[in-house]
Amino acid sequence: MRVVIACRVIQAELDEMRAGNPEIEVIYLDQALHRTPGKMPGLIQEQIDKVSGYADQIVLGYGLCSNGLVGVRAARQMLIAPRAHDCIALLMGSCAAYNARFAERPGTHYLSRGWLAEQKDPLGVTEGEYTERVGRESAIWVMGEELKHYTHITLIRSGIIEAKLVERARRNAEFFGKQYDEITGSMDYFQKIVGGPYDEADFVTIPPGTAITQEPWVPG
Amino acid sequence: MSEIIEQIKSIVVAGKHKEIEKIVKAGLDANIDPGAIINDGLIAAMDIVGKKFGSGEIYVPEMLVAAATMKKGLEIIKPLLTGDASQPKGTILMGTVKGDLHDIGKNLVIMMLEGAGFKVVDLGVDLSVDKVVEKVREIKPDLLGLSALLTTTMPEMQKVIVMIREQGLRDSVKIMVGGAPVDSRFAEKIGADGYGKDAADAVQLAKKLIGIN
Repeated sequence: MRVVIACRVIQAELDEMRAGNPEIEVIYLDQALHRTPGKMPGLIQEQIDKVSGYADQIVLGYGLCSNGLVGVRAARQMLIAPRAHDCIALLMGSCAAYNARFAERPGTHYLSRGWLAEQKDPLGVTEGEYTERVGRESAIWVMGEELKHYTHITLIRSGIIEAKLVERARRNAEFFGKQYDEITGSMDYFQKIVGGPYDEADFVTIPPGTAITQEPWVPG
Repeated sequence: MSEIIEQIKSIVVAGKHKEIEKIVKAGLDANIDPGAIINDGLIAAMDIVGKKFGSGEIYVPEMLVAAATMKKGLEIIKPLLTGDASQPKGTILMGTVKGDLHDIGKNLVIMMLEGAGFKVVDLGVDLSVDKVVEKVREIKPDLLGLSALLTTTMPEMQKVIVMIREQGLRDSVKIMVGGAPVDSRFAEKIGADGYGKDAADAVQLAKKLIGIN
């Protein structure tokens, strides 16, 4: 049995690729854990320990996510993780695709159906969590500060996306005064996360009992 | 007197930016030393805020609102500093590395450094290696502070340090690094002189590296 432990932000894409295959189990954790990366390893470790008794192989549906994977280990299985830094590379299909886009225009805030559906987009975070914390006026200012140097909000289209989510993506750009555009995503990474192969360009393989470190992602 | 400083501290921690001006002026009217208002009030408050952020008790919104409150207070007091207190303790060049557009952390560090009496030149974000080296040569700072929020841009810090060394400037400037994904191990690996885990820590580090108390 292959077990995938993944972020809910890519649930729609992974479910589509898994296509009900009973040989593959996928466990989803709350998205936006990367915003408090210090808590991530413990939450992921908990899930690894739960499936450790029966999984032959454990694949993480996460990027390095602000070091949110650092310290995680599987006692008796190979642990496989995308070489991506975040889910944006996953949505684009490869690390190479992400690197090319990033070099071309670093000032892009990307959105996907997962981010929009769970309202973890800038608008959702502002109106929800941030308004609760500091009130609406300050919340808008705070998110404006976070996005200050971004010029674009770009929707990555992957699979079928509801019209109201596309509209929401547009509204984010409008509200925060950014240019809006769209790119077509790729299912390649999701296909590989669920079914392999785990090629070295896009995946890191960690031997049993070894904790994940930052090095494979950030070579010094 | 210390009661007013305590109030200033709690107003900054709570991010009550509309109340800071009044209480700082009350402190000045009560003849409290402006330096004490900065150090024991404003900076001490941000030290608390930094610790709360580190422990997860608060998040970016509370931290930013507190920082804005501190900044307001600082702007009132700064022009009143005289004598030794108004002399910069050293010049620090600060910037976010190439490909990284994030500056909330860097700006907070700058504010704290300025509060602590340093002259800071902010180079902004998305800085090419050449740009940083050029500015080090031109401004001759005592200390260079590099920031990165993304794990994708951390290697840029190393590139800057390598170039500074190649250009023969390494002995004339200390280098500190920081940002959420950075740690002391990485700082050591890339040949930086130190790592600041938060803004208050960065101030202590800057003092140590420049050699002042």
